[in-house]
Amino acid sequence: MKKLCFYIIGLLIITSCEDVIDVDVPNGEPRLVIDASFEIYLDETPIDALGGVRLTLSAPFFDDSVPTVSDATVFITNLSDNSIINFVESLGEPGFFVPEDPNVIPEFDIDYELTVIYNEETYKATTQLIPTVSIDNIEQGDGTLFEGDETEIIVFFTDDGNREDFYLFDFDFNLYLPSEDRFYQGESFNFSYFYEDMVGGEEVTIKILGIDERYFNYSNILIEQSEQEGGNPFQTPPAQIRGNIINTTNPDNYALGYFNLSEANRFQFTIEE
Amino acid sequence: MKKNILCSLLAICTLQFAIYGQEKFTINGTISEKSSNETLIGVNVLFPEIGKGVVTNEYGFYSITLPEGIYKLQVSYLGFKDIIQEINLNEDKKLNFQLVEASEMLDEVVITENVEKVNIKTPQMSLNKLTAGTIKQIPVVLGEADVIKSIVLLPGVTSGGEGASGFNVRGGAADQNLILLDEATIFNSSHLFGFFSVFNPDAIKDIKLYKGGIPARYGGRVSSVLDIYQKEGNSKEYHINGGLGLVASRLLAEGPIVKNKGAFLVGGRASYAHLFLPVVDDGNDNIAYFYDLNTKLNYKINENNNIFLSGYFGRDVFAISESFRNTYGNTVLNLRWNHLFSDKLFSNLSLIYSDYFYGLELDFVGFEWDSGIRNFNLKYDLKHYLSDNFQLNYGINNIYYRFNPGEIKPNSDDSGIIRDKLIDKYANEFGVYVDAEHKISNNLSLQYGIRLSNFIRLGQDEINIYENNNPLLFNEELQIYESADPIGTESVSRSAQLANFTNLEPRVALAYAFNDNTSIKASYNRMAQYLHLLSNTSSPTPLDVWTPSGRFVKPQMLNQYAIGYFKSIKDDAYSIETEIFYKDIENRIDYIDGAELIANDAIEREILNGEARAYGLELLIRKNEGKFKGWLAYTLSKSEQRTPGRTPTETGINNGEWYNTPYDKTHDISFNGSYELNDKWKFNANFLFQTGQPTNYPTGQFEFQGLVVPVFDGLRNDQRLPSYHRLDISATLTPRKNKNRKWQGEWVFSVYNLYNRRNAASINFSQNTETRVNEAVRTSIFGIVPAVTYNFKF
Repeated sequence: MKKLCFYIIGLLIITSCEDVIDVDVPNGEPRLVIDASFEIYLDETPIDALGGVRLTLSAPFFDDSVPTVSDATVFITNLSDNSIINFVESLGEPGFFVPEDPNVIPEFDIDYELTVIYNEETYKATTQLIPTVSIDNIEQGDGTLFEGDETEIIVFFTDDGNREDFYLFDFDFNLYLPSEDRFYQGESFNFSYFYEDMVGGEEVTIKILGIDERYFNYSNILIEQSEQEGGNPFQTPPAQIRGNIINTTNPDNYALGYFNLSEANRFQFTIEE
Repeated sequence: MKKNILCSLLAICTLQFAIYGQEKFTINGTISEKSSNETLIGVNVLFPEIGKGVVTNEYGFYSITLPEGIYKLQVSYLGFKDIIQEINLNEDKKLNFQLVEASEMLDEVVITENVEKVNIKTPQMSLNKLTAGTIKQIPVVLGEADVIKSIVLLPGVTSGGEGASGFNVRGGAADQNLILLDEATIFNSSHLFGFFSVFNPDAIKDIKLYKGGIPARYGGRVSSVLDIYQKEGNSKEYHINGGLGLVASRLLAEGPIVKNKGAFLVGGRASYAHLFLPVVDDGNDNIAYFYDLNTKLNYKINENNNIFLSGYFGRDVFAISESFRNTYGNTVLNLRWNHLFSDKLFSNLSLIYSDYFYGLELDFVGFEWDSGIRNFNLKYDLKHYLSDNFQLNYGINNIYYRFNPGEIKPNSDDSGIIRDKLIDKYANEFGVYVDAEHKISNNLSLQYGIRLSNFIRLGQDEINIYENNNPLLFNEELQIYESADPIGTESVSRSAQLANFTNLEPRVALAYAFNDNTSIKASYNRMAQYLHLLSNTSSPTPLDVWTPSGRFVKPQMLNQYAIGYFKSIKDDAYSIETEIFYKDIENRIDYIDGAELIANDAIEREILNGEARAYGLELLIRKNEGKFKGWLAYTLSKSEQRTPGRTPTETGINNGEWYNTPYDKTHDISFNGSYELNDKWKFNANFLFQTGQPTNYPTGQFEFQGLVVPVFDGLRNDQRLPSYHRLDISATLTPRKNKNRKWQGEWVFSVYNLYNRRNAASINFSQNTETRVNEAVRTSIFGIVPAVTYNFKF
């Protein structure tokens, strides 16, 4: 529903003009950022598991890039049997840690604990694998929004009526849409998504991830704050984005980021010109 | 206890009444404009020799009781020719006066000395009045005269800038303004997100804005009262007036139903479709427009009875191709009966229906959404003119509310949306008040009163029940607030009470006049507000819903103190008003990080209780006479709020520290000036300067799943947008050929934001999707906007 606001606000934007200005911003202390989201494709054979733990530091807002963190220890503990999955830094990507054994697939209803040790401080987060549903179909539509040059795609899927679901749709190009099944519990549902930029001829991968309520809230804040929707004069006060990661050594020096395990499904689609 | 206070108040009043032994007689009557029989509000009826006087009320009625004698009586009203006559008061008299506009007889008018400055001596302070005439001269964007854009030029009043709905009074929120149109509450005062207000200037007679010292007859909002009366209609002749503008046109017709007894007034206003929206291609049907309709009927049954029926209907419509359609607006219907019980006792009974509707259809998700608020209001107000020194106002007011927080429906058969209705809420608000206007001596006047308000949140279906009655949990490990899951629901009968609040709201004001030109005034008012607009944005959006107080949301309670110094110079040619105010508000809610307010059935899971305070200094210098008229207003103020954690381990909002409200403007300067060159040309200019709106700048950035996210972990609202300022000018041309002709036309040429300042409505920090570079992007709404409007009447 949060999206509603932005559609309405979009109207206002049309009348206004935007320009880039110079602003002096305050610089906070750098914090460890733990980007640990895993997508598990249980319906595919062989089962595919995507993701890893990306460690970076937060940086001044106008810096061109954020520093990566390599000198850290990363592992995940299966809390049901205390087995440990060790992570090693990938060779090509500094700061990106991948499991030593890529064949370990997480299971439902088991607590997994992520541990990151960095600068002699220990960071922990616990989560479970969250189920999803499959994408029934994707079609291209000819509808548009405000600008008139958007590309519409229609996503069809069927919600599971036996549980309360939260989903995160990934439309490629780092475009995300969180959704909850409150208004379509157990229904065959479809909705339209509009790509703003011309994506004609591109092959895109559209994913549906199962997430829990806390990650749903987190994603909502994150997406709003990163202003994918563009300028908005009806600003809500920005939130301090706290994920599910706790610094057990020094709680005040909290880390940013999130540890998430999602069952996922994907759908390849070629957008016609 | 409460009863006792009311009783003793009444006793004091009666006592006052009984002291006088000498034979006294009462003069009463109605004062109206000669050409139209339109009654006039706030006319001074003066007895200069003895320094007594009275002012006409909202229905043009006055009454005063004086000892037997021969008096000089003067009726004076700004912009009208004075009437002076001698009366022999040896019996009760009914004297109706009809005033003639000064401008209509400019050649023969002799400006008489204004003997008494009533505004210096009345205890009412923190009050600003504007006439429809002033409002029409103030240049505004796109040439549409506008009530709210005009009051923003007054001291202590600010707005969120272009494209921001509502207005803020003395550091208060937009939902804390009581907006009354012919005594009916208006819930949303803007069209098109605040580009225009819902009041058609042609249909308006009188506007008063109370910022403090609010009399006991008003209640229900804690910041201000904007009290607007519509014209009654001309019961002598038929007239039509209107205007053609660049974005909207208006037409208003009035005339007698029964000559000199009854009149009608119908006014319509509409903007043109496609307003603002670029037509992208022929296949794209984007529309955005608004319209509104004002109607009024009045009928004078006899000298002692008048009835009025007024209505307002307004809608905004937006549609974006076929995927999106949005409609919202107010409806108001009001039946009033003025009855004169005696020559001293005036009464008004009002039956008011008002509703606010919000509807939305999103085709691309396949649903329709409706929400709204509806209320029935019964008001009975009496004004008792007991003596020349003492007037007593008392009355009751009962409002029944039904809130529709939202209903979602599939918009077609193939939509997967399930129909869902958020549970309706019901409430009843009752108020009883007594208010005395008491002139103790020629120098000292008091106004004191008390309002007893009661709010009952009535039963409804499916109220959530929470463990330990706590709907909002604090996760100490993660240091975040999280909504609690209800452990069940209960349904409570509509006749039962979920919560019941009763508050005593004392109001006191006094004025001490050192002489006829100088006075000091002081006031205190306590007020309760039982309705809250759920809005987490810097200015309200039409989508925001109102929610009643109840088990989890407590009524907002205000204390306001103000003192002021008032001076009139050279027989009111100039005046200076300065005021200092301080106010605090208990139970101002704020929202947890990431709060979802739309379609939320259980708002208690997203809010924390806090407090707010504001203080400041206001200065208003006016020049009231001559070819050059105008005012300069300056406000220095601070507005903050605090939302602490409920226990020492909780963080609250902003770690429980005070933070600036989004409408905290340290400096606010506004200037309005008009210059009448000759009877053909008239010029007007506005200048506005406001400290930039509080905002938040990021303290860093981080990356997550390919998103670049700004980090905000500084103090809330600690930075500011750049200062807001602009200059507007207008010129009004009244062709000379108008003279002696029925058709009167005038042209208004205006330029808004003359030096094309790009005032920031917001600054957004994000990554440019093409260059992948982080940027600060300023959004500004209006640059320089020239406009022309043609107004006519016949």
